[in-house]
Amino acid sequence: MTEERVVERFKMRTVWFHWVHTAAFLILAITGAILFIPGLGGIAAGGWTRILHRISAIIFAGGPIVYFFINPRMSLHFIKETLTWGKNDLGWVKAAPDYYFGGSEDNMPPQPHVNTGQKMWQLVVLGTGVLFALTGLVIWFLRDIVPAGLFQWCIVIHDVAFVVAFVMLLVHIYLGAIHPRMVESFRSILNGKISVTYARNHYGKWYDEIGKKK
Amino acid sequence: MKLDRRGFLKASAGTAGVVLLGSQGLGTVARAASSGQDLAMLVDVSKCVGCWWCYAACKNYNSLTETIKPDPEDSPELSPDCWTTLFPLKKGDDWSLRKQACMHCTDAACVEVCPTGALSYNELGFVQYDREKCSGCGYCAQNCPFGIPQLGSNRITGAGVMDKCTFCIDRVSNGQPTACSEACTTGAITFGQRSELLDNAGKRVTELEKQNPSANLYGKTELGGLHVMYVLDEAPDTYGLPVDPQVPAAAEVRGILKWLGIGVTVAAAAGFGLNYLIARMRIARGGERE
Amino acid sequence: MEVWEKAYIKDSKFLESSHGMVGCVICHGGDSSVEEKETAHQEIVIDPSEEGCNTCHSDIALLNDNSLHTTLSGFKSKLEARGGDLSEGSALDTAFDNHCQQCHTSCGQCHVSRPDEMGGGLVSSHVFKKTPSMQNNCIACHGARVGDEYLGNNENVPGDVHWTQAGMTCARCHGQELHGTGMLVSDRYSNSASAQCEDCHADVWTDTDDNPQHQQHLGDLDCQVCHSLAYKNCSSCHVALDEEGVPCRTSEPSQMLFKIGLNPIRSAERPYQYVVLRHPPTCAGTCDYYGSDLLPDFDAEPTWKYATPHNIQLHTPQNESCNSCHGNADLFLTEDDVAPDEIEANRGVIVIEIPAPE
Repeated sequence: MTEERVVERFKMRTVWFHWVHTAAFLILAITGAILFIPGLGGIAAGGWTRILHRISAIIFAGGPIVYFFINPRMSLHFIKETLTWGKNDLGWVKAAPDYYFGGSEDNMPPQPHVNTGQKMWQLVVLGTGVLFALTGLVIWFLRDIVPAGLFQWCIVIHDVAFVVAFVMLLVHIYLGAIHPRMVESFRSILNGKISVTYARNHYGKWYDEIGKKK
Repeated sequence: MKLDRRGFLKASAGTAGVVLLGSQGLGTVARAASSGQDLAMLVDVSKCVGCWWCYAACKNYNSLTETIKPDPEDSPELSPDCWTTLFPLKKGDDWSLRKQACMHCTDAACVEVCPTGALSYNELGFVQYDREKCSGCGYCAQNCPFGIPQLGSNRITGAGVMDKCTFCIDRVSNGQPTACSEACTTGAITFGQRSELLDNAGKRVTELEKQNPSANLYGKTELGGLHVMYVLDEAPDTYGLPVDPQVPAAAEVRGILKWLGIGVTVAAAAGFGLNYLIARMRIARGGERE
Repeated sequence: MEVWEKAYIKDSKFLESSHGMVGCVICHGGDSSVEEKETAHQEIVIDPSEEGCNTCHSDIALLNDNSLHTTLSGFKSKLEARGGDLSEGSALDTAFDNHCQQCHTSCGQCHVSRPDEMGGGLVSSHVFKKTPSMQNNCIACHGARVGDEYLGNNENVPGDVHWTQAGMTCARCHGQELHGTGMLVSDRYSNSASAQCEDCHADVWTDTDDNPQHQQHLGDLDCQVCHSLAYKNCSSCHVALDEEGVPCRTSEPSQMLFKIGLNPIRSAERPYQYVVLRHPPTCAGTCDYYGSDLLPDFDAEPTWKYATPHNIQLHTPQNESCNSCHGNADLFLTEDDVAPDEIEANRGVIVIEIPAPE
């Protein structure tokens, strides 16, 4: 078997950060869902799940801030990437329905480091993350300090953010690890590397750019 | 990605429709009006002399920290250690006092928002709670239109348990009246069947109205009917009672949101399943480059 | 009794009653959440009568505020009539606080516990008694004179027929009047609600046809003149502090006497000319320990006082026949019965001309 040539898609620190943040989010999601979904509430009796939620919240909200100070350049790049939208994205949107239902790969324009779909997910993470953190701060520290009405609506926004983020997470997991066309991408978030073939087929634009740099 | 937008929109439109139609039976909307068998209390502020014995009896029965008879000027606030108190209203040189505690609403906001089910409705009509189930989240306290539930919780860890009037559930289940109503020396607090108390209240208000046109009954229909009602000699807001209290809109929205969230998740999962089967089939047919 | 025994409450009847179900702290203060005695008893109110009873029992409390048992206005009026200065901090005021004040009772000292002066202590496990206990409350203080007379404890003198034959307790005659009428009065006979024989025996005024003695004397003599027996008279009471600074008093032994004199408090209600008089334990030098001449006008009030001895009988030595009373100088308070230094004070009551025998 020939040795496959690989290319580094993510640095290891990105991989680590991804998993730490994911773990925090999952714990938050589960402990939060207990207070959200009718019938599960009994598990929260005694309040220990809420303490777990708060500890994970510190990691979830604080982690990115810490990461920013360790890697300011990469972090800024990520934010810029997430917030830059243009004509190219339209190309992806047009091709996406057929592509993801198994249609020909030729119709999908070459994608940069993260494709439009992944960028959408990044936007959701960024947006809901900020909402979670802000409303979470009010709910945690400012109860009885802010008017009850504000507290109530912060919970509602916290809930809405959860519904959006959780459903999008399912999409993210599905497309990143389960979809028949994307299975290899899961490897890239485990060790940061993907095969050259995969890179050329899925992130053509990016692959050409790094090729030029070399 | 079809599922992302179109699928999402279809799914949400579908579930929203189902949810809104089905929400009537899902407990997100008001409970049926209280039955005539319900037990209740009636507080007649015109008869209260300010002896504070309802306060003392409650403290004693529930083993809370007792205090010497308070001064109306320094009326104690409700707290995890004080489940009933007297709301003071200065009238000239004198004080008019309204016994303040859980109103035991028929449509209780606290029950609706409690995530663990610690707060629930007792079949006798009042709002009971199970301290063991309480997670200390504080939603009840923030949603009660009367600000009754008291949560003494740790600001950092969030650990704590809510406390409020229990309607003396152990006494009441054994046919005894609540401690406060039994201790009341002037009959300002009466206990019994709600329908009967309503009758008495109506007569009393008519009687008071002859001398005082501001006399009114509070709690007949508010929030589906309160199980602690008041015969007042001034407008409710003078006594610190909200006029036409409602379950907060945010609580109603949350009620719908829960089911919406579940519906969307289920729809998404179904979508993935479908997508997987179709995609795999088409890729196999088309021959993947890989 | 041990101190804690005086306050140990375990009677379930009380604990479930209205007064009992509110716990101790609401009236007595203190801190019931701590185990340590000193901290728990900080700012404790031993007798909460002053602030505790009036909110619910407002009508009675309002009356009682001016009652004799509360204000001791009876003592004060007599001291002031004798020229005594009872202003705050005066010598007489100190004497009053040390001695006379002991007779003050609060709501609780009649209705819950024994009077403080008699050692306090709960009468019936903190149960609130609407009618105070005759033995533990009334006679505890009013024992030496009224109590002994009424019960028949005096040698050779039978007890009051209301007790020996009818078994009536103090409260049967002296009920709500003890709370007063709301107005300050100068003595117990000024209380318009005080007990009168006519409250039950109104027929004495209408049945005079059968009773020539009543026909003759009603309105002229008070009932006790014919119907009561010898009673304790005290004298020469001196009030002082003992070696340990504890208020005490000394007096001569009492004497059993029966003396009829002129009515010192004639009024529309008490129009009698002749009444029974008793010598209470005072003398001109009573307060000498505290200062000299504290009662400069001692003679302004008689020392033989209007009395209603509680040893009523139907038949007495003096009502046996007309002449058992008329002409019997022993029965009357004459000048030689009165101590020399008190003669001036008693001018108004000394009988000069004994009613002649028939």
